[in-house]
Formats: sequence, C-alpha cells, structure tokens
Amino acid sequence: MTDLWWFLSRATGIVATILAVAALAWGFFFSSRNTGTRLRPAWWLDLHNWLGGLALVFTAAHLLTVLVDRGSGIGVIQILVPNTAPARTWPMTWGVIATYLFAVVVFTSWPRRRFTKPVWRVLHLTSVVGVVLAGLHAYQAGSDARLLATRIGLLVATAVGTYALGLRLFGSRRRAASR
Amino acid sequence: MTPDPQLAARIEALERSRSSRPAPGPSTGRRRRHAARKSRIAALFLSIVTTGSLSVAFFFMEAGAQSQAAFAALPEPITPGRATSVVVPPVDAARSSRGAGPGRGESLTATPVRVEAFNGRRVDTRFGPLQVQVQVRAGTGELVDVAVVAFPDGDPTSRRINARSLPRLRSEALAAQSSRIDTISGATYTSRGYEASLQSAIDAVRAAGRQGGVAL
Repeated sequence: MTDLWWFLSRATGIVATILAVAALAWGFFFSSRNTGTRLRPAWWLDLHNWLGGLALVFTAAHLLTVLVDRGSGIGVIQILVPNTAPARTWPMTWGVIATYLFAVVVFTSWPRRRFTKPVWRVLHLTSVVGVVLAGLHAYQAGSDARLLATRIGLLVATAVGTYALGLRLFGSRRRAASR
Repeated sequence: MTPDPQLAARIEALERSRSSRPAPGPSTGRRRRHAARKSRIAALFLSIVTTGSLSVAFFFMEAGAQSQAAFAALPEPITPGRATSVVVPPVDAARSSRGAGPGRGESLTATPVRVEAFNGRRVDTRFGPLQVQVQVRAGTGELVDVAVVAFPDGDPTSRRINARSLPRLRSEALAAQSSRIDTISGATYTSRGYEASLQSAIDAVRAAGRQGGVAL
C-alpha cells in the first residue's frame, strides 16, 4: 500500500472540488433568493457556510496527503509559494492560488461584521475565481484528468456553477428592474 | 433648528428595538442552533465515504494498469494454420531448444524463428473463457511460445490474478515443453483452464504430425 497517500490525495482533491462547487452553487441559490419554499433560507445559508468550510478542510487534507506522498515531488515550498513546482508549474500554481482564495473566503466569513459590505462582497466573490482555478488545476494536473468520468464530472461542475452564477446575475438584475 | 418629531420618534423606536434584541454571538452564553444540522452531518458523511470509495477505486485502477503492462509482455497470438516468422527473445529461444536458460556459447540475440500456431480448446473457467495458442517451430514441432487468445478479464480481480499467473504459466510450459505445469496458488481456475487448453493445443500439434520437440 505504498501508493495509499497518492490515492488519498487524488480522492481528497476531487472531493474538495465537488464541495467547493457545491458551496458556490448554494451561495448563489441563497443570494439570488432562489431557494424555494420547502426549505428556509437559513438552511441554505447554514449549509453554504458548512460546505465552504468542508471544502477548505478537504483542500487541507489534499495538501497534507500530497506532502506525505513521496512520489509527488511536492514539498512545503511548492505548496505555499506559487510557480515553484518543478513539474506542471502553472497547473500547480492554479492550485496554490485557489487554496489561498478559499482560505480568504472562509476566514473572512466568520468576522463578517468587521468588514464593510462592499469589501466583504469582493472578498467573498473571489471564491468564484478560486473554484475556476481549482477546476483548471484538476483538469491540467490531476492524475485522473484523462479519464472520461473526470471530464464529465468537471463538465457537470462547470454547468452547475455557471447555472447558479447566471441565476444570481440575471435574478438580481430582474429584481433591480422591478423595483 | 427644531428636530423633526416624527424622525426623532423613529430613531428612538429603533434604538429601543436594538437594545431589546439579544447581542449576537457567543456572549449570549447559548450555542447557536444550526438550521441545517442533519444536512451538515450528511455532507460530512458523504464526503468521507466518497474519499474512501475513490481511494479504493484508484487502487483497483492502478492494479489494472499494472496488469496491462504484464499482459503487454505476453506474446501476441498469430494466425493459426500457416508458417509465420516471429522474433523470439534470446532467453525464450534458448529455453525452447534446451528447456532451460541459455547455455555457454548460445546466441543471446533475438532471432527470427519460423513458427506454426495451433489454437487450444476454449475452456470455460469459473470466471470466464480461457484459450491458449501454442507456437511451434515449423518442421520440428518444438514449442517456441505460448500465447493467450482469451482469458477472464471482465473484472479487476481477474485481471490482477491473470496478470500475475499467465506469464508464470507460459514460462512453466516453455520450460516443461508440455502441459504438465504446476498450479499457481491463488490462480487455480486459470491454471487448470490454461493446462487443459494447452493440452488440447499440443494434441492439435500431434494430430498435424509435428510433435518432434514437444514432450507429449
């Protein structure tokens, strides 16, 4: 079982990406008031917060397993500093930046009241860039990127994210127009 | 300037409602209730289970990839019934003529050999069909190689077992120059099927009158 860490790093990376996309979609559904009547808005917000935190936890697990996996060739420097990976430099850079963005989004969500609304909104919306970069990292650097299942999964994630973003953008425009 | 009494009343009402509202956060001494408590647990559970399942799936996928490398090392079957030139690796070429490794003075370069192929019977094992093909030196009937035409490969476990056992069975058959090969532990069904198909292929060689070098 020498490859255990490699398998775990791949699995945690995939799960972290799924959780990040889910958190993004939940957030957009909530902020566009597209939450239906069956579940309370508080439920959507609570789950959005939880999914975001969980995405960061699984990203941390992904980094940890990559570090422990001797075959990855990735060290602490490569994880912390963008553009320092010896191979697949740019795809790795996307991953490093995405991790920082996830951390910024999650850690600024707790002391939300310390920020003004516009600042907090900008900080929170960097998660969109983070999720896009995470998807790019998975597509370009993932060991399973060539698998059809991975490509279909990324396509579905892109569709879900784009749909939620579209709902948020066009929904808020429609609301502004109706006011 | 006289303040607007209506505005003053509104501000006062607002301040009153603010002061009567409990302060948010942990200072209330109560735990915040999570609106999606069950869904949180479900999400956590699903994430952990998915991570575990994916890791197990990757384990079997990698085992399959290693199997493919092992299968690639096996000889390709050729069209039976007509003489064909194949290049036999030096060790196998030496084994095929002496039943052992290369001896002193034997050539260690790959040599083209004119062979004829005979397919064995398709044996239905518990996990799927298995069929081998013997390749014998044209004219002498000496066993040069054993290719696998079909083997159980429908599931990762079968592929892993066969990747381990088929190269060993081939080596044993070449060394023994017969179908008298030992059963490989953990691959009993494959070994039995291989042996039966190999024996029927050797029977076909004998029926064609080319049994010269094959120990029957």
